[in-house]
Amino acid sequence: MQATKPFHSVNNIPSGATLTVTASNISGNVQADAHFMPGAEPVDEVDWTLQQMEAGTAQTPLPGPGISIARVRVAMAQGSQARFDMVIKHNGTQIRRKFWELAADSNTTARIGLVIDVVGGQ
Amino acid sequence: MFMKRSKPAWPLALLLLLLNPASVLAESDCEDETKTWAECIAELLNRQNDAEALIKKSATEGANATEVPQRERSWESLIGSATASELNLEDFLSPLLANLDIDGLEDGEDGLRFKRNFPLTYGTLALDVQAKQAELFPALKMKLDEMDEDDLEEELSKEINNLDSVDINVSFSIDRFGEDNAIWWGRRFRTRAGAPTGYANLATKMFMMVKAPEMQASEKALQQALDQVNKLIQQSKPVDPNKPKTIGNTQQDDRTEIKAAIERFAAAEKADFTAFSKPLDEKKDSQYFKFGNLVANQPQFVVTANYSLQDELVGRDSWGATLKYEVGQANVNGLRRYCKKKGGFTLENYAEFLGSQDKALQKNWRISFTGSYKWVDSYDYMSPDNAVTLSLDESQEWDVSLAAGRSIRLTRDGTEVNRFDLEAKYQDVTGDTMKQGRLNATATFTQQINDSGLAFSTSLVYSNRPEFRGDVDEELSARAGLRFRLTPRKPKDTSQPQG
Repeated sequence: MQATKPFHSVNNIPSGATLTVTASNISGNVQADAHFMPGAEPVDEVDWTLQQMEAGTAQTPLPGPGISIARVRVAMAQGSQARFDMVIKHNGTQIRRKFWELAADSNTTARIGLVIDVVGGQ
Repeated sequence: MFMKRSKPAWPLALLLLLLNPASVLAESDCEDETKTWAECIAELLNRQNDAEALIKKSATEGANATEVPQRERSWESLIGSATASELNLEDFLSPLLANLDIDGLEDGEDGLRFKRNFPLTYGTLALDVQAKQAELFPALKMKLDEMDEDDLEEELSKEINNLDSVDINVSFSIDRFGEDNAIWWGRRFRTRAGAPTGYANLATKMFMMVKAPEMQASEKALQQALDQVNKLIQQSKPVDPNKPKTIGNTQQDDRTEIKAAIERFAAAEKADFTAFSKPLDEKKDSQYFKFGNLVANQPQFVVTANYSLQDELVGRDSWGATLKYEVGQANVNGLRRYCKKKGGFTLENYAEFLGSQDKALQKNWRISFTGSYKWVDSYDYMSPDNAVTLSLDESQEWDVSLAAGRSIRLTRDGTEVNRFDLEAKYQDVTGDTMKQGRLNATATFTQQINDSGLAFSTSLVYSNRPEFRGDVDEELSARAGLRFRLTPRKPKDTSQPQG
């Protein structure tokens, strides 16, 4: 068991990049939503508010330049598990990737996410 | 020796706290001048988490889950009651009917079994093929007993293979829950492809309505705080314009201002998460979760066809078809009609509907109608030495049953504590000397004993033909039993060769 961080920062992300958040490997009772700040509308709407969450993906273009935050809020019942991937792509190429595997020993809520420093002009 | 008492420090600390109530930055935060402002924010958010963190599982890139107060009710309990009803007709009647074999439900699943559901446009097709542990045909066994042919009976019993009795069942249940459909059928929350059905969409809409006011306010504050951070970073003057804008490469005055803005953002983030984690308040919660009861009362229409293939030592081939319709009193269709009249689905209309259906939800009446037909092939058996022969004509059987039941007591959140069910069944049999047309009536009381599915049931059974009801000779009898819910056994893999 190691102390790990729920938030990561990624720097020098070129303007025009897109961020994809994927939920997978879900077992048990998980409720989550993906929250993007500044409040760009996700390209793919994902119904993550249901408890019996299905694997799903939400994608959003990153506004820039400036700091953007992608956050997943998760509520998990005891014994549940889920994995959340965040992938940043630019011109179709993956430039950053982080993932979190969560497992709850008791009914739990948590948040995980990326603080993204977008640089360059549009 | 006396020491001089120093002045207490708490008034100063209190004054500092009052002047800067949202202070979440420690002195060491954002002091590494080589770091970026994004890294500073991430650090701060992590530090806020660390204060309450309970690491659950580590991963290559990171894992964390924080301990917060337990949620009072989960979606699982809302959805569970509805999804458990998929093609599961027994739940509609008292469980005891299944236990006592009154309804003809088979007990035990020895042998091989294959079950699979196929999604179709208007519903779901379920295929269930089962090869059962076979036994000697009861009528033949009776004949052999009458003739004292014990040796032959033993010999024939040895000849029976496990695959000598195969049942094939095909069921189709209607699933209709589109926005355009006036009446919704079935109780699925998700289609087989994983897409949410109308029930899930309605429940989600309601969830967002309940949560939205407090969440929208905190999310707006969070957004504004981040906008302010970005604005200040953008306006700040670098010490060296040719270098990246790190903390160290920001003018001191700007740096102080940005840090203060980041503090406000971190405090807003914490408040927003608290709003997300906060359980639904009691009043809304109890109404909110009644939606599960409405879904469980939705109409369900199921047609089943079955074919039974039997070796001559085991029994007679037969085929049949059953049609079953079930519906509860207060359901989602009623809610949709009500909301349509009132101009749309809102929390107010939902609450009004629940208010108008209060008695119905307490009583929770459900009815089911079943009609079935069964044809059984004729039978001719002759033993190798011609000593034993058994011939039976083909027979047909029509069954019609009507069942109704209601809850007697519910808990505050709508969970059933006990219920009462009545079932009347008429059987019309032609060509079978072992059976005769009869009327059966069953009254059942079921009491849940605990949450894990232990229930106690007791029944009164009336039959106008008691001679065909087993070892009873009265028209009225009573039965009682306990019901346990065990973990369902996984179906055997029929694709593997059987040793």
